Amino acid sequence: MPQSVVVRFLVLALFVLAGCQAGSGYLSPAAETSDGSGLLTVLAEDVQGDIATNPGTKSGARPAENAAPERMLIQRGQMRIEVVHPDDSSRAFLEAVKGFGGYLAQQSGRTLTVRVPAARFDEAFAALRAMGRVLDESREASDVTEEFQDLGIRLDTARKARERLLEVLQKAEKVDDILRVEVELRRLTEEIERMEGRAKFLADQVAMATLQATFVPKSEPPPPQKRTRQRSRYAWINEAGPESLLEGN
Amino acid sequence: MGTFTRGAALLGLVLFASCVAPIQLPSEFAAQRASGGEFLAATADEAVLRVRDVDDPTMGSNAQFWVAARRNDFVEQRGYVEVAKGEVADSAGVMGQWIEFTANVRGERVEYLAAMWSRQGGFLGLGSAYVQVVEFAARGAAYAARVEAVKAALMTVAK
Repeated sequence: MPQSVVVRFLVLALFVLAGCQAGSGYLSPAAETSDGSGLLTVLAEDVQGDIATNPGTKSGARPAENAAPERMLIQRGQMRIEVVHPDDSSRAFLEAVKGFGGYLAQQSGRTLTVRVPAARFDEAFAALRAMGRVLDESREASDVTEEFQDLGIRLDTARKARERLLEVLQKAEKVDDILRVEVELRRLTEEIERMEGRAKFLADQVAMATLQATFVPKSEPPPPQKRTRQRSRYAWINEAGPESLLEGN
Repeated sequence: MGTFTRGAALLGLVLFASCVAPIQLPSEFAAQRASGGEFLAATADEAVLRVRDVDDPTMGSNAQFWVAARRNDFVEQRGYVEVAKGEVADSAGVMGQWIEFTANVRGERVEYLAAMWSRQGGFLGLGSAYVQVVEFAARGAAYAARVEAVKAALMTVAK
């Protein structure tokens, strides 16, 4: 083998090794500093990684991985219903909702948005249906089980990371270190509060279903026909209709 | 007349009425008349149900044709308002059409449902074509309280 080829190979191998070393994020910051401040950078990256990615894979199996979780469903429904007296019907519906342990969340004209305990959603829907003539209705359920579980795991990890940061803060002596930890603590606290808010919102949506009811007044009868009626060429159609039925002809 | 005779006559009347009824009456309806290809029933608050066979003057049009013809007369000529329409299978699985209207009859709001099936009469359907028509009409709450039951009863209509 010619010597120049061997030299080139060795140089290339050196570059590859150097690249591997630089790519290892956990090693380089600590290696760069001798005063221990690299530890903070490592920790911050650790926390950021924990929150940004799925932490369950880092600390082993997810807690709920093997157990079959109970489905967490956000239930929503809407109905337009024709009634004779919309105001009376609205009042009666709200009374029924209170009976189910629910409450009025919003009212806009004859449209009421109510929240009822999820377990009684079907009953509330049936009670509403019975109040008049259903013009249209729809129901949907969104499964948030996975999002809720992920939030729980991420929250747990973020809280542990905050505790670790607090320990670091107690041990830190340099002003620069203290400031950097505090910045990271603030960011992490905001992240935890945001996740707690989302978890609370999801839990509330799951616990209380949302039902929107629109009460449509029964329309006035159409005006009587004024122009001369042309009789149908089909005799039996001329004899048909509510006039002949109700008047016993 | 003895008790037995009266009982037998009553039973015979009930059996006769149940035999000729071309539809299973929803509760609260009482049969009024069954003659000449027409069956009439009504409730105490005067919701009325009628089933009748009428000659088909066309060459055997289908139920959609008759719904359209009826709609044309009711909406365009009489000023009724169409509320809804759909399909329904009778007791033999033959598809028919139904249509609902709301109407002003002498200043009063009434509601009306009609269902139709195109049929062939005679033995093995070799006779002339006719239309079997089910009509249901009532005022206000009497209609709303029974329309779903009447729609369900349409599935029991027999030729």
